[in-house]
Amino acid sequence: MTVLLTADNIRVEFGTLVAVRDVSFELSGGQLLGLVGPNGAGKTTLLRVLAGLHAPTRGAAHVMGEPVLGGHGTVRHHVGFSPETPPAYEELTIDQFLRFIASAYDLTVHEAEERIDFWLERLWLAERRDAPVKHLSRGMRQRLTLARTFLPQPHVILLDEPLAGLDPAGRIELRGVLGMLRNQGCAMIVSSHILADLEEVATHIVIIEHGSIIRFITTDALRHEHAERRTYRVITLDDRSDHARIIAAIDGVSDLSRDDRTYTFDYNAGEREAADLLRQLVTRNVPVLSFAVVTKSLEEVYLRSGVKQVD
Amino acid sequence: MEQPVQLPLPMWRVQYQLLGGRRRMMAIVLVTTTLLIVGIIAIRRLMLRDPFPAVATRVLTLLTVIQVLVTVLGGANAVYRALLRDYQTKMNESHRLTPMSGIAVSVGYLFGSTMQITALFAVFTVVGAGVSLFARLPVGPWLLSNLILFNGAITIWAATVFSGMRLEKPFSPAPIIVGIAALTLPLCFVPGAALLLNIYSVLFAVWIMTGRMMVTSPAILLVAVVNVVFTIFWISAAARKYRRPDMPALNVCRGLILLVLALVTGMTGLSAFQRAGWTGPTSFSGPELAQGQWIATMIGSLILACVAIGGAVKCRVLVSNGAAPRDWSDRVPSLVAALVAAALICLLTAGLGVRVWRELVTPPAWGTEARAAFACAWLFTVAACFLALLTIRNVFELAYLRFKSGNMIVGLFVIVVWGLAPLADVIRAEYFRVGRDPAAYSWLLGCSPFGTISITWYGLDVVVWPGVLVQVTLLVLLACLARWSRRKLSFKRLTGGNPSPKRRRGINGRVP
Repeated sequence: MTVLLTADNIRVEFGTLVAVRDVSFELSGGQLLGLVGPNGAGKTTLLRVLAGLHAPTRGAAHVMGEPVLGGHGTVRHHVGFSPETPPAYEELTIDQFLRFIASAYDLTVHEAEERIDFWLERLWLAERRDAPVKHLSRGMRQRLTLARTFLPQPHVILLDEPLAGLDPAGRIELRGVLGMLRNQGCAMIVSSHILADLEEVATHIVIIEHGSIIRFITTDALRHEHAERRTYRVITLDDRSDHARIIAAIDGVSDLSRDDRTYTFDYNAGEREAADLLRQLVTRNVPVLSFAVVTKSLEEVYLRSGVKQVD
Repeated sequence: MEQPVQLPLPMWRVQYQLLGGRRRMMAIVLVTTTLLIVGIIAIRRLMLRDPFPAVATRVLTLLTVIQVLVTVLGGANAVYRALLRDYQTKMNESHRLTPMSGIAVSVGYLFGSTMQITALFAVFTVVGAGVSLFARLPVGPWLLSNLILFNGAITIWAATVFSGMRLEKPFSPAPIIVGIAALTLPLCFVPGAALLLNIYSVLFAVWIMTGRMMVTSPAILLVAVVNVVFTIFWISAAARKYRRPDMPALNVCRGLILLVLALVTGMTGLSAFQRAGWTGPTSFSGPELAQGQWIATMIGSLILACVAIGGAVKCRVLVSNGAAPRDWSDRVPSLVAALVAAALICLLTAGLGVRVWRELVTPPAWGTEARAAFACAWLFTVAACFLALLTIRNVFELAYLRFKSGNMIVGLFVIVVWGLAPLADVIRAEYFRVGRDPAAYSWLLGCSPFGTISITWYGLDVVVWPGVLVQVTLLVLLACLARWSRRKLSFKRLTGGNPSPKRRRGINGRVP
C-alpha cells in the first residue's frame, strides 16, 4: 500500500506548553486511524498540523510526499479536514456554500453538481438543499461540514469529532461512509470520544496523552490483546451468596466482580478452556442461566492504558 | 434562485454573494441615486437666489466629502467586516484548506467585499458628473478627483486585507492611518510618510475639486503610480501571510523593499513638496521646515528598517527552532539584514538626498563648503544608521529568543532608551533657551541615533562623539547578551534542559 500521510517528528509548542511531542507515524491508503485521548491531549492540534492549518514548531507533515505547509497548492487537493466547530457562511444556502467550495477546488460545474447531489443524498441533506446555513441544527451543520470535506474527493481525510452532534441514525450512516471511503483507498484519521464507533471502522488506534502517543495498535491486535486471558460473564438463576465463593474457588479465576446475579471475572482464553470452565460451574451446582465471553472493547483498553484526564 | 454575476474568482464571487448579491446591489444603487437627486433638488430649491453653477460647486464639494468618507473609511470597514466574519465563522481556516492561491483570496477580499462601496462610488461619480454637466461646469476635475480618490482607497483597502489576514482577530489599519495622518500632515513634517500612508490621494482629490490643484499636475500621476505599487505590495504580502501565517509576511526581502519604497517616495515627495512651495500650518517655514522634514524622513526610514530586521530575526529563530522555511529569504542572517538596511538608507540618502538637500536648504549656494558640510553630516548619518540598526538587531534577537514579543520590546527600547535621553535634553535646552544660553543642547542628545542625526543635520554646536561612544557601548553590551542567549538556548535545545546531553527519542510509533 502507498504511504499517503507521513508525520515526521512533529512538535508543537505554545509558549512553555508542549501540545504535541515529537509525534511520527505513517498512514497508507485504506487505513483508518482512530485518535483517542483525554481533553487537551493534543489531538486537535495534531490534526490541524497535519491539515496544514497550524505550523509545527518542529517537524513536518507530508501528503503523498509533498510537504503540507509551504508546498505547492496541489497538496490541498488531496487533504480534507473537518474541524470540530463547523465553518460555514451563515447567509448562504447549503447549495450555494457547497458550490463555492467546489469552485475553490477548481471543480467543473458538471463535477460540482454531480458530487454535491451525491453527498447531499448520502448525508441526508438533499431536502434542505436550499435552506440557509443559519437555519440548520448542530447535527445538520456537522453533516454539511462533512459534505464540504468529502466534496473534493481528498485522498487523506482528517476528521475532528465528526460524530459529535449526530443523531444515532447519522452516526450509523457516517460509519458506513467512513467504511466506504476506507475501502476506496483513502487514508483517514478520526478523532473521537465515541470509542464504540471508532472501534467499528478503525484499522488502527492511537492513544495520545500530553501530546505523546502512548499506544499505537491495530484494532485486530487490540481484539486479541492479552490472548491468554479472557473476561467471562455468567448470569445465575438465583442470587445465592455462595455462588461468588464457588466461582472464586475455581482454579484460574481472577478479578471477580458481582452485580446482582451477574458475575464477571477473568479466566484462561480459548474454546477448550471456556468449555472446561462451564463444566466446572455446572459440576459445582452453580445454576448457570447465561454464559458469555466478553470481547474486550476499545473503551476497556483505553481505560486500562492509564490515561489520566487533563485538569 | 438568483444567478450570481460571474466574477472571476471564487472568493470574489462569494464575498459579493454574502453582501446580498445583485438584488441588494440594485436596491442600494436605486435608493442612493433617488436620495441624492432628491437632496440636490432640495438644495437647489433652498438656494434659488444663487446662480446654478455656484450651487452646483457647493453640491460637488459636499459630494466629495461624502465620497471620501464612503470610499476610504466605508471601504476599509467593508473589508474589515468581511475578514472579521470569516474569522468568527472559522471560514478563514476553511479557505486555507482549499487550493485557492493567496493572491486569489486577497484579491477576492479586496474587490468582493467592496462591491457595494464600488457601486456607491459609481453612483456618486455619475450624479456628480450630471450636476457638473447641468451647471455647465467642466466635468474633468470631478472625474479626475474621483479617480485619484478611488485609486488611493484601493491601496488602503489592500492594507486592510494585509493587516486582517491573520489567525487572530483581524484589525483595521484605517484608524491608525487616519491617526498618523492627523498627527503628521498638519505639521507637514513627513511628506514621504504621507505618500506611504496614501494620504495625498484624499488631499489631491479635495484640492482638484476645490481648484487648488491643476489637473495637469505631474504629482497626480506620481501619487497614482505610488498607490498602484503599494497596492501590489500589500496584496502580495497578504497572499504570503495567507499561506504561512506563522512566519512574518514582511521578512527581510519585503521589509527591504518597503524601506526602499518609503525612501524613494519620501525623497521624491520631499523634493516635490519643496518645489511646489507648500507650507504647513505651523510657525515653521523655509529652511527650518525643510530641515525638519529631511530629518523626520531619515528617522522614519530608520524606524521602518526595523520591519526588515525584525522579520529576519523572527524567521531565523523560527527556522532554527525547526520550522520549515518558505524560501532562501527566510534564512538570511539578521546581521546581513541590518547591514543591508543601513547601507540602503545611507546610499539612498547620499544618492537621492544630495539633490533633495540642495533644493531644500542651500539652493543658490551649493558650493565647496556646503558640499563638505553635506559629506560630514552624511558620514555621521552612516555611523548613526549602522549603530542604530545593529543595536535594533540585537534587541530583536534578545526579544525573540527569550520573550517572543519582539515588536513590543523593540518599541519600548526605541521609546525609552533612544527617546527619553534626547527628550530630556531637548526639554532642558528649551528651559535654558529662555535665558538665551548658546550651549543649550548637551552631548546627551547624541546618545540616540535620532539625536546624532538631528545634531549633524541641524548643525547644532554639540560634540557628537561622546554620544556615539555611548551608542557603541550599548551595541557591544547587547551583542554580548544576545550571544549569551543564543548559546544558552541552543544548549537547552540539545539537552532538553538537562545537564547530560541526552536527546529524547522522538518516534512514538509507526503503522505496522
